[in-house]
Amino acid sequence: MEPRRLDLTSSDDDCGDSALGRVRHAYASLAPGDRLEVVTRVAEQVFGIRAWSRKAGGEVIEEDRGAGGIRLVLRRPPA
Amino acid sequence: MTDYAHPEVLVSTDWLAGHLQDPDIRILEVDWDPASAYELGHIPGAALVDWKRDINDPVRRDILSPEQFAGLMGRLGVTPRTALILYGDMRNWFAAFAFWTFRIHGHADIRLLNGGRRKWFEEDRPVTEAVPTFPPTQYPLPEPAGDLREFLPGVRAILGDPGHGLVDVRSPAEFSGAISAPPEYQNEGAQRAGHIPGAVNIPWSQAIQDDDTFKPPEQLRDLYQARGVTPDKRILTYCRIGERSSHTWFVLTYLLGYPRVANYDGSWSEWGNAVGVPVERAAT
Repeated sequence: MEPRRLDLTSSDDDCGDSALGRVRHAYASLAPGDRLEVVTRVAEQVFGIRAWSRKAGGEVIEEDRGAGGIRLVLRRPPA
Repeated sequence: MTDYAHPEVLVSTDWLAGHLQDPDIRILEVDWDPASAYELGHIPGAALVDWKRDINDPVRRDILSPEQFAGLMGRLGVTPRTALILYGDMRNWFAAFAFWTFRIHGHADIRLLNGGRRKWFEEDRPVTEAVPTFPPTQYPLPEPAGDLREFLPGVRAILGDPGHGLVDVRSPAEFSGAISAPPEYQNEGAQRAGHIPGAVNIPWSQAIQDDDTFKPPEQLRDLYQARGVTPDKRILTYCRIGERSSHTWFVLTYLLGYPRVANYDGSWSEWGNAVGVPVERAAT
């Protein structure tokens, strides 16, 4: 099954939820074993996602960097 | 290239990296959401200032009182001579709010980390989860300065006055009335969407570059003066709760040297809920 996708590269001018807040919300909706693909251009967000995932018991199973930004894939551990 | 009007209020990431052990400074990370920022990793030696807990009165809607400010500074081991180096989450918005608040309470030496957390992490500089402690101090009770802040009656009184300028620093969607607040911030919503009559929309982010550092002074001057925001006027900035507008207040006051700038921190979450005040919306 394709991972759910979350794009953090859009503007945050309107002061919405933080990038990591959006990741947390999206991750919370995953079923055990499901994956979440996150795209960002911000190193601070990569650090935050990795650090939060570690604390929350999740896994970052892929990370690659390309012209479009940094792509991370998180997986919710199987039950 | 000319320099900023008050370059002493900015520090670079290079400068801070060389002063992490400096006993005359206190590094403060000001966060809206510490669990998503400070608690995951911060600049070594930085203490947390939690915007909701430390900068605001816990009961009524207001910034911290002089007594609360003195207590916070004492807890952080700060004296009136300490240089406060501020940075924080959400692209330095809340650090700028703290700058404005601490200036209202008269602290002399406050500096903002140019580029903030994003630039520090982008440069792969050291971070830690270690929380520092400091010997507490007895910080003297300050005398607040009133001219850096405006309230709703003061804003209403200057509507249409050519000697004043109003800068709405929110997104174009908020300014036009398409949205009043994102759904995840229900306590920042408003009964009415739109903007204060006469305001010009210059989103806060137009003052920064891709790496979150401030634009050069010439570009900043052109940005604001082209929209009629000129130093001969008294300028009022606002957004939704006063934090993004603190960022623009900082730019106009310290980077461009405008002599009379105040932040209306009641902002749209007050104006858009107030009965009987005029509102402008984009034509639909």
